[in-house]
Formats: sequence, structure tokens, C-alpha cells
Amino acid sequence: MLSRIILFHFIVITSQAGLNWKPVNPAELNLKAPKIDPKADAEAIFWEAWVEDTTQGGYAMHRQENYLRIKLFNARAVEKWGNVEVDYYPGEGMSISDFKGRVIKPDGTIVEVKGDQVKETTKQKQSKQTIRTKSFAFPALEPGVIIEYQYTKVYNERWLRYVKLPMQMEVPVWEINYFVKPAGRDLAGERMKAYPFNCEPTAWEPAKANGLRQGFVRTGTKNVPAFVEEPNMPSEDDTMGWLLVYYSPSEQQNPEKYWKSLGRKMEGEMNRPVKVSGEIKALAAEITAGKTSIGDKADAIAVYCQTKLKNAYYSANGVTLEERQQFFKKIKEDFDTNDALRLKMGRPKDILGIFYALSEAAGLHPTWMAVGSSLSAMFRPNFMDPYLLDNRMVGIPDNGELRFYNPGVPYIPPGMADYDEQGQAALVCDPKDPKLVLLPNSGPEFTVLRRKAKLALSDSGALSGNVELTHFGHFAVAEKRRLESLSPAEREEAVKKSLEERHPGIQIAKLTVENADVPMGVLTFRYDFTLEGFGQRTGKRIFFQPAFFNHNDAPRFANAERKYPVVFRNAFREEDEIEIALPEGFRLEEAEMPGNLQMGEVGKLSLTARVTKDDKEISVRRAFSWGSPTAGLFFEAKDYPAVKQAWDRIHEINQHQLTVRAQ
Amino acid sequence: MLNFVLLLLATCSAGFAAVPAWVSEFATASHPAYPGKTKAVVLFNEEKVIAEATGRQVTQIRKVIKILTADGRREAMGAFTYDQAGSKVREARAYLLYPSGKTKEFNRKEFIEGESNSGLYLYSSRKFLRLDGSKEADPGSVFAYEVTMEEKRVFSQFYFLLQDDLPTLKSRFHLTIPAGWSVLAKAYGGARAESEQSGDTYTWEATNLPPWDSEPSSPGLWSQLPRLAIGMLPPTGAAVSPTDPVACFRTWKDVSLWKSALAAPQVTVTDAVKSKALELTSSHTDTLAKIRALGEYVQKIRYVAISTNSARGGGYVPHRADEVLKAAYGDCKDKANLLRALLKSIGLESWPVAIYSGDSRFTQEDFPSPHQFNHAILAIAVPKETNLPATVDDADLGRLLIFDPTDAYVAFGYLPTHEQGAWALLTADEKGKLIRMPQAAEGTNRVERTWTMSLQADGSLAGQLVEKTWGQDAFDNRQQSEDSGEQNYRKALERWLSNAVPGMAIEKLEYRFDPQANTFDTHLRFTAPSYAKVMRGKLWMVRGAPMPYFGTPNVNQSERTQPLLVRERHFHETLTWAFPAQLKIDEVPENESAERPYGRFATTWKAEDGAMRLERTLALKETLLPPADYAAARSFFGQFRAAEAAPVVLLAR
Repeated sequence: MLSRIILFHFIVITSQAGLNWKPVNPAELNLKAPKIDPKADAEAIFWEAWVEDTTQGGYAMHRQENYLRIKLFNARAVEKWGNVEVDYYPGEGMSISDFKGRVIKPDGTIVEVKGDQVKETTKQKQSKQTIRTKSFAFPALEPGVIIEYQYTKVYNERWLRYVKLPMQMEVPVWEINYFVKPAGRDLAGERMKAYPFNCEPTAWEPAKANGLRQGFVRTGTKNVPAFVEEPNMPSEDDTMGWLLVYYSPSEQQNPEKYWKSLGRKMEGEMNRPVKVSGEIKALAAEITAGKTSIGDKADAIAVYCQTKLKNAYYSANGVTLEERQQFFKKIKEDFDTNDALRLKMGRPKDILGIFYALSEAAGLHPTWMAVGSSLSAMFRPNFMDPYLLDNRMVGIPDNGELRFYNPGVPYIPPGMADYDEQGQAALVCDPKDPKLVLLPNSGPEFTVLRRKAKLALSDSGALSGNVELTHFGHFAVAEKRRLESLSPAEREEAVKKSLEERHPGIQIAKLTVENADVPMGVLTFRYDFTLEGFGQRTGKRIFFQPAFFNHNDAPRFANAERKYPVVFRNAFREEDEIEIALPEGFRLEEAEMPGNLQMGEVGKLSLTARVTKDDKEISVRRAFSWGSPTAGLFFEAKDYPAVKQAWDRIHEINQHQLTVRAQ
Repeated sequence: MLNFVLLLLATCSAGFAAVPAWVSEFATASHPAYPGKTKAVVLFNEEKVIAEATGRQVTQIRKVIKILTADGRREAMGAFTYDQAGSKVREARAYLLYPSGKTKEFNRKEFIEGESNSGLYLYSSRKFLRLDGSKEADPGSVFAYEVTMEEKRVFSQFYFLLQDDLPTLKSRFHLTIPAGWSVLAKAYGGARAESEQSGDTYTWEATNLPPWDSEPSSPGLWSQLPRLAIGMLPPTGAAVSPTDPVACFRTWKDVSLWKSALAAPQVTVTDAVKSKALELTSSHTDTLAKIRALGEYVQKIRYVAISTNSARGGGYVPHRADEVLKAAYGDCKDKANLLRALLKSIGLESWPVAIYSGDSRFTQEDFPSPHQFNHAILAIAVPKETNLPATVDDADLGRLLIFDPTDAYVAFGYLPTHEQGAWALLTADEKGKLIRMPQAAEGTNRVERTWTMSLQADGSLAGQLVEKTWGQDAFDNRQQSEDSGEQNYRKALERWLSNAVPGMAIEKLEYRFDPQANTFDTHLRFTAPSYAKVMRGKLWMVRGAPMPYFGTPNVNQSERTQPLLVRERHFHETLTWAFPAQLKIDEVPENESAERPYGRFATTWKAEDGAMRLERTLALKETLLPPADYAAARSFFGQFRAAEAAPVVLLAR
């Protein structure tokens, strides 16, 4: 206890030291316009941070001192940067100290944030889980001032194996400098390493510092543009500049050897909760009875795991919240696959473990796989750490190929990866032959939206009829994730709302939603509708859009410029069959359909129609596919004009009009 | 032993034995069948207040909610706010009755504490206590909670919402008053003001309140819901001094006196305040120009809300004017107070005005109470010849300019539309009163667009748009452009335009807010690669008006249960088209017009050889249409929409 008290005092004393305010350069004071981006509202002159993991009094401590100086050029910047708020979690041993700020006016006058202007409040508190906030508003702000502020974050009694250091801000920044003191061997037992993502920091060099600042090394970057968000962009971790400081036991320099070694090690860890019991063996035999091929057996086991086991993270198969609560109460530290099987319920990792165990029992020789995700940074082979391989799947070897399974998600068809895992690197943790592979992207034929409509156009231009929508692959997974937890009436309401947003004024009746929480069931929507004003009536004619399902579509890409690459979640296909009965006494006039648009390997759109012999009905067929396992899902920013042009053309075809004329 | 067995059997058969009797009583109450989308039903909603003459009170809240749908899980929430300085939570408990029959009790420690309004305030002494049962409440569950707290109230008035948007089976408010005191109750939104009296306790009750559907283009929810406003009055006279233990109000003058006394000491005209006022006004000789210079300065001060001491009226007391000037930030009352001090320092009088921001229908004339407001603005004495949209005449104080120093985008002389026409409290000691905020004259808010377009022989379009907006339309554009910055505003315009004209590329864009004319002007030149729909090269179709007008109310729903709010709008558009020589006009839409008590529109087409001119106007009056008139209104706006979407047909020569 005594050492804890001493440590506390020591932290307070050292943290009170903080960083001194640095003198302000007159050029910074007089600066009238941004230096990096002429259109920026504000620019950070510098961001300096001192980061260290140490032991004091036998306790670990992670400490980050931050110091930012920002020039505000206009009223928008004053509004945006006027308040500073820093959250922290005392229950996790976290504290904030040296929280201070000041304003430097263009004439050099300095206005300090006074102690009583710093507010501290409990944002949220429940038992020991507390979020506290320290905040202040900068006084005397006006365009042209420089603001600067400091705060020190301390994590007591812990050190951080991974520390993410931003190398970019939401405003342009002249200079970012990190001073890092590597954790000693007594704490980490491993050497500190660093890996830059989307940035090129300077090489580490010893920092020149005195007193308590001994042993720091410095890295940084200069003249960094602001980070901005764009639609269809890769993940933030793959676009924003950041540096990962981490501790890794491996001293291996050869990536190939590193990944092989890691694969063997991970296999052991992942296998720990897997128990191939007699019960598992019997069940595997039962599930695979009558199946002869490896693929059929593995698919049957995956379907069993998805349909017969309740998944505690999903509402599939009608799992209730009460059941989940009861389940989580039963989880102990040594919870294994047999426990989950006994309960017929598990977390995704438990279900994946059962799949592995059943596959093993069925003689399918499964292998664990550590998989990357497009929601974080892409895998880099020369970044020798498992940090980017956080997802798990199971591979089943089949005639020299590897089949991929993730029955921990109840809605993914057997053999398919989730949308964020497709095209990502995976480490096959085969103890005999560990290796890196690339998970394939599924082709458009696996993710299909099939739409059928039997419709009638009235002589006022109103359209009415009935519709059936069926979803497959990623379309179904995404919709089931959206709808599964809703009750049947709410699902219908949610689908109705989406339809009303797409077709303002539509009147929907007899809407049904099938299989929204049934893992292998085909998700189907059916409804009747009337839509006034669909066709535009002139004196003699009615103009209407034969591709009814694309009515009111907005162009996919509206902006002329692009900074980051464009990504599509997955390849897909839309298949539309639309029958439209024409109004009595009207005939098609100068009818023409756009036909086919072939976009190389990337996509294809076909919009065709034929009219019945009696000229009373037209039959429209639309088939659109985008992306393939090897193309169409990722485009560099330089290719944006071509992508936009293609989608503008797709939009134009979808909006194609036909005319009927009164006879 | 037998007794023990019987007791055990009784406990088991009771089913809800682990919960208090009031919970099990209402948990099993039958309720009507509601539409499938109804998320939950409030089976019981009760607040009991025992009030003392000192302002101390004990409040007990009880609520029982049955979850009907999966989305309704989030209704399994017990939440209330209190001031950390003046209140003490005696007890807080919640119960969850699972559909399986099992029950669970949550104690005080399981409630989450936090700062109320943390998004709005940088700091507030107001706290919340919340128990979230949503992670366990399946449809069919019943969630109940009970809270008892001691509070110190600043004034002796109570607001009670009989329901929110959920259907409510039974809702009750009990008030026990000190001996000899009386109550004044008002009811709104269809509620009943009559109560049952038993000794010093009064009870108001409502039963079987139907669900409240959220419908677009409706008036604000809070001004429509059934609610009670109750005042507690002492036996003799009303205490109106802030030093009194609890303030009571019989008239609006009482409220004015109370608020005036709280605010007056904060109008600190220090040397710094005087010096700032002189600095800002020294170049002006005209009174209005001086007011404008000071007003626009305060508008630019940052909005930062720091609320302390709300249990002692802190929520009604601005920070001192000199402090706000020095910090250069403050909330609405701080800004109004600073402007008041600046004006005072140059010899101009002004008075705070309390108003309900966001819904001009909220404040009720017949219940004098500070509870009815959420915003502070200012009434400034101006020369009697002043003729600005936001002026009113007061019998005691003369001509007043109403000015909102918090809204940085509404120009001097104007008032935001959501404040226009509302009742507001002029806080002027003895001369204080409830006054109607000025309503801008018809046509003050206006959009005028002029399009010049040339259709090319390949079906592409080249054109320009000049848009001029006035009044709130101009201020909204100003806000959007200034908040976004040039790059983001351009992107927003690109998205907006390309939804109407696919592929549209902006070649030139200029925009500015004119502070003299108070207009926002936009000038853009554009091209669109394939605007015309061309059929076999012979039949061409173009939409005469490329851009819909978005100022009409949402009438997409076929039926409504709530009134439709038609906002005041004025829109005029002129479109001039030039067609390529190889085309001749075959069909031009019919001219359309319609007139209703709340608005009119006209669309006029004029075609000449190779050219066409379209002119359309829409004028709407601020009107609240009852649901019975909805079908006719839907037809009127549908006609306007159809007219703007009407195509022009061209044939190849």
C-alpha cells in the first residue's frame, strides 16, 4: 500500500512538471493565410507528444504528454477549436493532468485559461465504470489568434503493448513530433518497434533533452495535409497517416520465416478451447452421414453450426435477450467447445471452435486462419506482428485448394467470407505448412438481388402492381443484419420506410418479409403498391421509366474531385424482370432501349424490353453486374474520373424513358 | 412446516412476487391492441410531489412500461434529472419482468449517473440518473422503475407530460401542498385541468391515451402532447423576490419582476464594457447603426453554455457582462445580457426577452411561468420611425426592436422564423408583460431563380442559374455556406444539383451574402452531358424545370392524424430555353394554377420557334391545417409537384 501511495505522489509531482510553453515566432503571429492549404480554416503549427511506458515503485505506467499549437484563420475555425474536452476513465487507472491552454493574439498578447475556467465533470458513472471529462473554453478567441493547449494522459498500473500515434489531423499540420521512451526490458521484455501507416515519418533519432527526459527517441513528419472523409473510401486506418509503436517478441527479420513461425504458434493458441470429444465425433458422423465429398461434408457441418446452434451475438433463430443474459452468466474462463455444444449456444468464436472440432472429427483436417479486415488497415507482409490479422476463420483443404468457413456469422453462406474479409490476407495456421494466402473475392453471381414486378401503367401515369425481391449472398447478409433483431411488424415497417424514401408518395400494401432471421432461408420481400405520378403525362403522351426499380436513384458519385481511392464492398448482380401493362388506348412511340453497356472486366449492364404482339404489355429485362473476383472493387483516386463516368452512364441508362402515345 | 409450504406455493403462484405490488398490479393490466409499429405501452405513469412552502419538495416517480416490439426495447429505460447541489436521490430502483415469468431487480448502484445536456453545455450542474434495461427487455417484457428524491425548487410550479409518443394506459400527477395554499391548474393538448381533491392533495389523471404518431411537417411535439401546468399559490400575496424561499406567480408581471431582479445585477457596465461599446460605435452617429454594430459584435461571440447553481435559479441568471466580454463566449442569456450592458453604456435601453425557441406555438398565454421558455433574446428601444421587420410597439416602452444575439446568421432587424409570432416575456420589472413577437410581412422570405438554358444538338445542356434569396431563406443559405466553407459548400451544391440533373458539372460558382440588402446571391454556370431523353433520334423529351422546389410540406403520406404545418414561402422561377435548330416543339404542358386559403401557385408556359419560357410561382401562408383538410392539401401540393415535373416534347424536323 505504501508503494502505491508513493507512486501516486510521484506521478502527481512529475506530471505537474508538464511541458513549458514555447516562445511564439513573430512570423506565426503575423501569418494571415494558411501555409499548406490555402482553403484551410486552421492549421496546426505543431503537435508534440512525449510518450513513455515505465515502471515506478514496481508498477507499470503509460504516460502521454501532448502539446498542440493551432493557428485559427477564420470564424469557422474559432467555432470549431474553441473548446477542448478530454475524456478519461478513472476506473481503468487513467488520469489527466497538466490540462492547460492559452490564446496568443496577433499582437502577442497572451490570455491564459485560468484554473477556475477548467471544468471537470462526470460524463457517466456506473458502479466503478466512470467516464470523466476535463474541459475548458478558450477565452478571447477571434480569427487570427493562435491557440495552444496541453494535457497529460496517464494510465496507471498498466503499460500498452500497442500505441497508435496519429501522424495526421483534421486540419493541415506543419509538424508532428513524437518523443518516445521505449519500455524497459523489465516491463515489456521485448524490443520496441514502430510501423508507419500511410505516412513517412523521419528515422528515429535520440532526443536532445534534459532531466526527466532522458532516454527518449524522436520521430515526426512535416507539412501534412488535412484528413478528409469521402464516400466509398477505404478504412480510416488505410487512409489516414499514423504510426504504430509496439512491442513484439520476435527478432525475426525475414517475413516468410516470421509468418511461418507465427502460424505454428497461433495454431496452438486457437486450438486450446477445442475439444474433440466422443459427443463431437458422434455428432460429426450424424451430420455428414450420406455426404461423400469434402465440400459437402464441410458445408453440412457449417450449416449445422449456423442453424442448430444459437449464436449469442445475433438474433438468428429467434434468440432472445433473456437467453443471451442466461448464456453469458454461464461463461467461465475455461469455457470450451464442449460447453458451448452442451448449451447449444455460443459466441461466434465458440461456434467456429465447434465447427473446427466437428470438421476434425469428420476427418476434414481443418486449419485455423487468422484473417485481416478491410475495416482496419490492409495487411502488410513486412509488418511482422499479428495486429492486422484479428479475424478468425477455418480452412478445409480440398484437392489442393482451401475452402473457407466462418459459421460464427449465422447468415454467411458456407464457403464465403464476410464482406470485410474478402480479398484480405490470411495466415493459414497449419502446423505442418503455415502460409499466407489471399482470401478470394466472391464473384457477382454469389451476391444477387433478384427483383420481379407485375405492373400496370394507368392513363394518368400512375403505376401499380406487385413486387417480389429476393436477396442472396452479401445482399442477404447485410439486410438480415439490419432486420434480424426487429419484430415482424417492425421489419415490415423498416422495409416500407426504405421503399417510401426511394419512391416518395408510394402507397404500399400487403408487405411481407420472409426469413429475416433464418440463417439459410432466402430473404424475400413482397408487396403491392400504387405510385401516382410515376409516368409524366403530357397532352398526348406518357413518359415512363421502364427500369422501375431504379426510379429516383441518385447518381452514385456526385463530386468532381477525389482525394482517396474508391472501394466497393463486394461484387454484386441485380436481375430485374418487370412486366408493365400499358394503359388502354396507348401505344409505344419511337421505342428504343439502350441495350448493353460492357465495362471490361469491371461490370456489365443490359436493359432490354420487348412488347407483346397486341402492343398491350412490355416485358423489361435488366441485368447489372459490378465487380469480379479480380477487378472492379478498388480504384486509385487517379481513376476516379473514369469510375464516375461509368456510373454516370449506368445512371443514365437506368433512367432511360419510354413513351406511349394515345391512339 | 405446512405454513412454510403454503407460503412457498403462494409465492410461486403469484408469479411477480419479487416485485412490489404496484408493479405487479399494472404489469398485468390489459391494454387495447395497438398498430404493429407501436413500440411499447406505458401501463402506468405517476409523479407524486409533496411540496413545502420553503421550496423543498419530495418527488416520487413511478413508471411501468410494457415492451411490444424489438425496437421498443430502448423504452426499457428509467431516466430523470436533478441538480447535484440542491437535490438528493433517496431511492432509485427498477424491475424487469421477463416474458418467461422471471423477474430481476436493479438497485441504485446499477443506475448510470452523468451530466445532463452534456452535448449542449460545456459544464452543467444538472445531472441525470438512468437505468438502461434495453439489453435484456425482449418484446413482452415489462420494465418498471421508481425514484424518490428530495429537491429544492426555485419556484412553485410544475409541468407534467401525461404521455410522450407512447400510448399510455394510466397517467397521474399528485400534488400535496402546504396547508392554506391553493393550486392553479391549466391543461393543454386535450388534457383535463380538473382534479380530485383529498385534503391538501390534488390528483390529475388521464387514461387510455392513444399512441402519438410522428408525422412529417407537423408542429412541434411538445406543443401538442397532453400536459398539465400547475402552480401552487400562497395564502396571501405572491412572493416574487429571488431572496424569497420560493417564487410564486399569478401574473406575467410577477414573472417579469422575479426575472428582472435576478438579471439586473449582472448588467455590469465596467470601463472595459464602456470602452468596447465606444470602440464599436464611435464611427456611427445614427442610433440604429450603433445598435447594429453592437448587435453584430455580440452575434459573433461564441456560444458556450456553462450552467451552475441551477437549483438556486442559476439557470436564469446570466454571467456578468464584463466577464462575458473578457472571455468572449457565453450562452443565450449571457449574450443578451452583454448586449444590454453595451447598449446601456452608450445610453440606450433594452430589456431581456424570454422565449421558447424552436416552436412558436409552445408558450401558453394563460399560465404565467418561467418554465415556458428555453431561450433569451433582447428588446431594444429604437426610434419610433424605425421600420424593420422585427419591431413591435409597446404601450409602456415604445417601439422595440427584437433581436436574437445568439443567431449569428439572421441579419440585424430580422427575427428567426421559429421565434416569429410566438408569445414571449418582456422582462421589464413592473412594465414587463407577455407580448407577441413580430411576424415578418408576407414575402419577406423569398426565393427567386432565373435559369438560362440551351439544349445542344447532342442532347447535352449548358446553362446558368441565378438565385436570389431573402429573409430566412437567405439566412439559411448564409449559415450553410459559412458553416461548410467553400470546398464543402461546393460539394454540397454538386450533390444537390446532380440529383436533379445527373452528371451536372459546375463550371463557375459564385455566391455571397449581401449584408446591405440582406440577400444571398448564387450564380452558377453548368453543363450536363445528356439532359434530354432522346428516342430513336426523333423524339426528344426534356424536363422544363430541372430543379424541384423543396419548400413545400411533406405530403407523401396518404393520410394523417396530426395537423399539417404549411410554412410561409414565396418562390418565383423563370426558365428560358433555347433549342437546337433541328428540333421543333411538339408538346408543351398546359398552364396550371390553383388557389387555396393557404396558398396559390401558377405555372405558365410560352413556346416560340426554337425557344421556350416557363414561369412559375408559389406563395404559401403560414397555416396549420387540420387533418380533415389534408386530402385537399395533398392534392394541391401534388398538382404543384406534377406541374414542375411536366416534360416538354420536341420532334426532329
